[in-house]
Amino acid sequence: MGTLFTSLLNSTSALQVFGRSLDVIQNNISNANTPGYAKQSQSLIAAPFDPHAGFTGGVIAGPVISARSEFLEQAVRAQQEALGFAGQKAGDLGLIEPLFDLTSDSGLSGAINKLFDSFSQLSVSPNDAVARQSVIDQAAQTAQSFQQTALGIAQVSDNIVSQTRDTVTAINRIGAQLADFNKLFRANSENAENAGIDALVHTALEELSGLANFTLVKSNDGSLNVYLGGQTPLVTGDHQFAVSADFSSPQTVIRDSQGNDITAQISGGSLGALMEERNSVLPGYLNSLNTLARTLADQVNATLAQGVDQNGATPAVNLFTYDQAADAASTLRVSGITPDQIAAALPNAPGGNGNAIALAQLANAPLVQGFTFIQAYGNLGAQVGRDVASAKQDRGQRQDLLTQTRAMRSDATGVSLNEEAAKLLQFQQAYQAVGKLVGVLDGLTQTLMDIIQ
Amino acid sequence: MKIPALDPSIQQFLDGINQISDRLNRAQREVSTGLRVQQVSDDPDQVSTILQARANLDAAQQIQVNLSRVKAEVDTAEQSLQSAVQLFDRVQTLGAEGATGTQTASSRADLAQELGSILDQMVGLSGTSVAGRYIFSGDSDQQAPYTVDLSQRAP
Repeated sequence: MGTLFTSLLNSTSALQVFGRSLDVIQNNISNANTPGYAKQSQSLIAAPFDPHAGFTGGVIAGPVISARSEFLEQAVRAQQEALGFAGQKAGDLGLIEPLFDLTSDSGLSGAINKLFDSFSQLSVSPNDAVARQSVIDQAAQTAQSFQQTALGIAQVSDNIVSQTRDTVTAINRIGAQLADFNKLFRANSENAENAGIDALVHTALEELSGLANFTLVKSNDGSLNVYLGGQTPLVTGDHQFAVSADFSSPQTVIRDSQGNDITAQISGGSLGALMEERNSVLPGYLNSLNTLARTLADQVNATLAQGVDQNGATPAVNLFTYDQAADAASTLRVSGITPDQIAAALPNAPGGNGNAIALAQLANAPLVQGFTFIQAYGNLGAQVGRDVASAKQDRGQRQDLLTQTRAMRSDATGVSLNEEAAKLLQFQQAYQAVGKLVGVLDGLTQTLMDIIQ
Repeated sequence: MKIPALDPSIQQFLDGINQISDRLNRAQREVSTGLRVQQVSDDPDQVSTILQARANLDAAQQIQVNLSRVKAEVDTAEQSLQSAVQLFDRVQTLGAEGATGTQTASSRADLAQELGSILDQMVGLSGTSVAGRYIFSGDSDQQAPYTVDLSQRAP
């Protein structure tokens, strides 16, 4: 009698447990497309069964277990960080590339070629006013091309500044979110098991990994401590420490909440790329461009100074002028020289073309660190091209790796609808079987009752 | 940065499609322009060579322009010298004629007149200019080399 009722009770509790399993399956299916969601399963525990000792058996619902794998999450974050870096770099350097156009005669290389052409033309008719004016015009064109290229680089640099600002804002926003989640975890330890909050936290962490490199340390109470660059706390417990970007110097400086310089620690994510670009890549390009502009101006001026102008006098005015203290490329321009002041002749042959020939020959002289002007410009263009090409290639590879890692994570922790469908059938059958058992037990009980009557 | 909610297998498929369309775009661009390298990142190692070749081409074209101008000067100079040679031939003839005893004072005056006009022509030839440049003036190519001044007497 006692065992019959116990069996009935066991069966109904089994129905409850299977019902819960079905709930978990339903929740998995509902969240199949929710970002950051990891599939869950209801663990089942067999109750001790020994009828002689009074243990009646049955099934007990254990805890709901999440398939979340912190190892795979970390792997995805590592790829996300690398992609953030490569993607940012490829995008920004792609803006520099059009400044070094190869398809047309415009741009700096065309201007330099035309300048030397005008010297060559001057050597044929050194006293022709038109040829002299053409030298001044082409020099102005060259100076303008230098300025435009320098300006283009400066514009990309400005663009990087505003993107850095946005990125730092986004990092602080995610930091605040995580601090809020930590508050929830501390308020109630059950929140650490909450699949919804868990999904939001991991989505936020994945977003953060695209922005900067960080280390994650989990406390016992389930709260997350995030250290930027592995050292600087961004979030510890429910405290957020906002970082800031300082653009007061030509080099971007990232500061922690105390104002300490933590620039060296930020090496990954889009923020790492933004700082590398503004702090080393673009200054490198500008430096090469300035060297080229300065050497061209100095060499042309020095050669002109060796000659005499149309009136046989030593020239009093330089052709090119630039600001010695500032960048040569952005301040290069033509001084107020007049056509008759161009020194085309040599002092021993006034009216001749000796100096014009010397000027034209500068085109083939290895004057910029062992390279001609065009070669030096070509080296700069090649450097930009190599940087852009490797950044683009890197971005493609990182994208592939991220997709693969995500696929791995999805295989292990994502919701598989096939699996859920099979489980659904399994628990449906079990539910039906127990239902049938309850019916049988009910019949038996009824028979028993009838007997007692 | 937005986290894509796409299934990874769909994402992989899309990545593959994107890669193919990138390659197709590039192939079409190369075919339509006839240029393999359009941006510096297309082939960074060739950039220097391309720019140097273009500079050499530019310089060669300029030299061609220079030479055609020089050729015009030389051609003109040759014509002028041929004319001058003919004039000297005539001067020689006139000198021989004037040296014979059959000449009268009036015929010698005619010869002198003709010589005077040849002198003018010779000075005119020495002042030949091409595109504003006096080709027989050496470095002082903005001035004619000789002018006629009949007030001067032979020493």
